Amino acid sequence: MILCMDMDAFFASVEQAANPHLRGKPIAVIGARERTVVVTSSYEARALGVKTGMSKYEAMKACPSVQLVCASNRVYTHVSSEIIKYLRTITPEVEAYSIDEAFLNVSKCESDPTSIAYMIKSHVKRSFNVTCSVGVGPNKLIAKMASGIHKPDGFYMVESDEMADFMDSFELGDIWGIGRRLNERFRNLGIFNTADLRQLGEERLAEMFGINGNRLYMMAHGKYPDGVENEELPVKSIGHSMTLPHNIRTREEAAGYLLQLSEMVSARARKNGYSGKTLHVTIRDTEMGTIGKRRTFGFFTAATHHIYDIALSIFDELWDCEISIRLLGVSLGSLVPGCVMLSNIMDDFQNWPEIYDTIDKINNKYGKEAVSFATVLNCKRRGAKTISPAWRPDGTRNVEF
Amino acid sequence: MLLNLHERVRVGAVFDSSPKPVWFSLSGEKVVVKEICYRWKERSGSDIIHKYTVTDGFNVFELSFSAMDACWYLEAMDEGDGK
Repeated sequence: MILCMDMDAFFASVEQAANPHLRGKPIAVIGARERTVVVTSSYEARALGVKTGMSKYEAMKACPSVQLVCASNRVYTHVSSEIIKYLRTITPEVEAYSIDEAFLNVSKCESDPTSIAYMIKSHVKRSFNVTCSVGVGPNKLIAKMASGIHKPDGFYMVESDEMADFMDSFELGDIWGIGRRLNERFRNLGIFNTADLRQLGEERLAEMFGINGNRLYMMAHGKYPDGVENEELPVKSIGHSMTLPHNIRTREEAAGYLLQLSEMVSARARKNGYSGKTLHVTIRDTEMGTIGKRRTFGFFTAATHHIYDIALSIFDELWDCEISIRLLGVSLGSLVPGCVMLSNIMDDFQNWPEIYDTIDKINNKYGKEAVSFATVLNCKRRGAKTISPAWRPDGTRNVEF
Repeated sequence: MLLNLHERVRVGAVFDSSPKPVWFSLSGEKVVVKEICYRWKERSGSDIIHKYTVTDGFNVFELSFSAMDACWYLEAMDEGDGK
């Protein structure tokens, strides 16, 4: 059986556990003081209309008594890592799916799934004073859907012979893996639940969606092909993006942030032993329009100075001086593992590997960003501020805050 | 209201498996820790920073202890009366 542990309003619950003044009150966790949205909110705030994704002004309009709390990413990542460490004492087959969700394959455990679920819930409550909901089912899909049934602090188990009936109880849009657009497409076809999907038939679904059609047909029966991935799959790209503290209108300011993002990407690539040979730059304007461009270059690199040069060149091609920039992103792709290329024959200066080695040694000893490029000091916002859905407690997807 | 302070403070602590603050000085007065509300660890380079939120029954304080420097800091204080 597979077990899905899903923390309840994780960030808000941790804030309430850490600060008794916030307990029982409507609180909303926001990413930063300026230009931010509600990342999550307490159940008290949700009951009063506060929703994830609202701007802080919208949240305060919906609920004037809401208390806005800046995210404490280091606390959340610590608690998440400790919980995953604990789950790995139960079974080695643990997949940290996000900062607040994990799957466990408990098929080989001596205890029954119900006992394991209550043991986890009890440990999480006792150690971190927060609650989690646990779902159990024959596969990840059923376990995930079951974890949402009795939230918060819930438990629900679905047996193998109940899978299809269980799936039929959900609207398609509420099913894990069916997004808004896909749901809209199905609604337009008069398909509202998994029973309708099954009736449509596998062939028709495969015609419409290719291999995803077969997958959807399986999901309509409550079946799911993917098992618990307890080992990190090779990453396809290493990227960072940053919502800027104010709109940027000059190339000079953008260059500072591009250098910072390039160094963040390079530092992670160096740490995890990757080099890449494609670079993607993203620009989002103040109207929330996003443009991006990818370039493949003729060598592999993990070096900041290469990434930055290429990023700036792509930026120059993309950016129309009229556009005010809200967000910038840099992503290194076509990665090869076990290879950290920090210089090439085209570089005028050949001592870059020694410089990066020294930077890494100093930052490992005194903290990240103890040494960086001086231009980065011009940036008002420095370092990762938001926890990506791809964050993991270890491996390449781990980002320190 | 949350006040960010980052002031070095004197702390009386029990060092068991990890340091546990019992009292600390604030503006020359001794504040007795009634409850440790939360504890976590942060890494700063090779240093491990032990962090705590504690309460004296009225206010909530954030304390930190640097394992490398063996220094305590009062990081923040929440008087709990505003947003």
